[in-house]
Amino acid sequence: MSLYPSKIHAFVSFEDKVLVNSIDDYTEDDVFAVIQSSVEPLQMSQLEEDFISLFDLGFDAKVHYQVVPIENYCISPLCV
Amino acid sequence: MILETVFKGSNEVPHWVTSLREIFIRKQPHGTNQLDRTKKNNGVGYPKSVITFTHKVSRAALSLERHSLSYAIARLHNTFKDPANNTQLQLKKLKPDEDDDDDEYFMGGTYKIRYNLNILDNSYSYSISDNTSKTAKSNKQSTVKRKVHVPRRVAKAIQLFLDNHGWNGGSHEMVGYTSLKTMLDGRKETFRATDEFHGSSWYDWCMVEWTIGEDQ
Repeated sequence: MSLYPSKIHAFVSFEDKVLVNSIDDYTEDDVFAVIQSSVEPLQMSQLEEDFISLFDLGFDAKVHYQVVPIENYCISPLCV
Repeated sequence: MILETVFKGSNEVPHWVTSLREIFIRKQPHGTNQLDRTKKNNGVGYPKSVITFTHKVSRAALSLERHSLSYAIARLHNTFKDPANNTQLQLKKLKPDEDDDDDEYFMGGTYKIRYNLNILDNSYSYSISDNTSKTAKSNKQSTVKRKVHVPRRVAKAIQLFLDNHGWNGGSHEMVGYTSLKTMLDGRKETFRATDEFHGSSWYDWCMVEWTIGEDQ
């Protein structure tokens, strides 16, 4: 398990039931976030110890921009 | 500054105190909760390198942003007047005022994104319909329609996601939201992702958890 600080660009839900059903454990009621993640993970223990942490934001469209389910992946808000 | 006198006699004013004060200062001219992404801050450039606070500081700062700088400093002064106390413990006491509701609130706008995929050359296009935002002020409802901007890299990420989940051509329509209220770890949280909120853009951040073996 790794934690990545991420910027939220959009929230989306999919209306195509066939497509949604192809995503394991998710239904048409689920909302997804389009996020832009950091290059390297940042552990919460390090954040708590340092209080203020630096990280590099990724800009590779195929790697660092991802669509993730809100409930299972986004675990905590951040102030950046 | 009153707040800094609290730490007089110690080695220096803690960095997080300075950062909290900057949250209030940066309200102008870049809007609430927005950083100047071209500004250098102690040698740290944006957006390649950014400063992250814990969510406790975020909530504390948001609760104070609605007040004047002098009020915020006075409240911080009272809260942190004993520097010997545990900082994290004190931060937990900084909760939003329950009876201090905004007279204007944002219910979350929606917009439609329609993708079209040409399977012959694997090219795609997308269009975004007008965003509809609803605001309420003094019990008067109003509806505002406007265009919402979705960066091309974001649109590409959605297209790749569709490709990986069985999209085999034709058109696909989805709903986009500019804000989301949800429960995270037992807390009620509001996230925003919009290029227009009270005069400026507002994109929230979060920690995303990836399990080993997933793409990143």
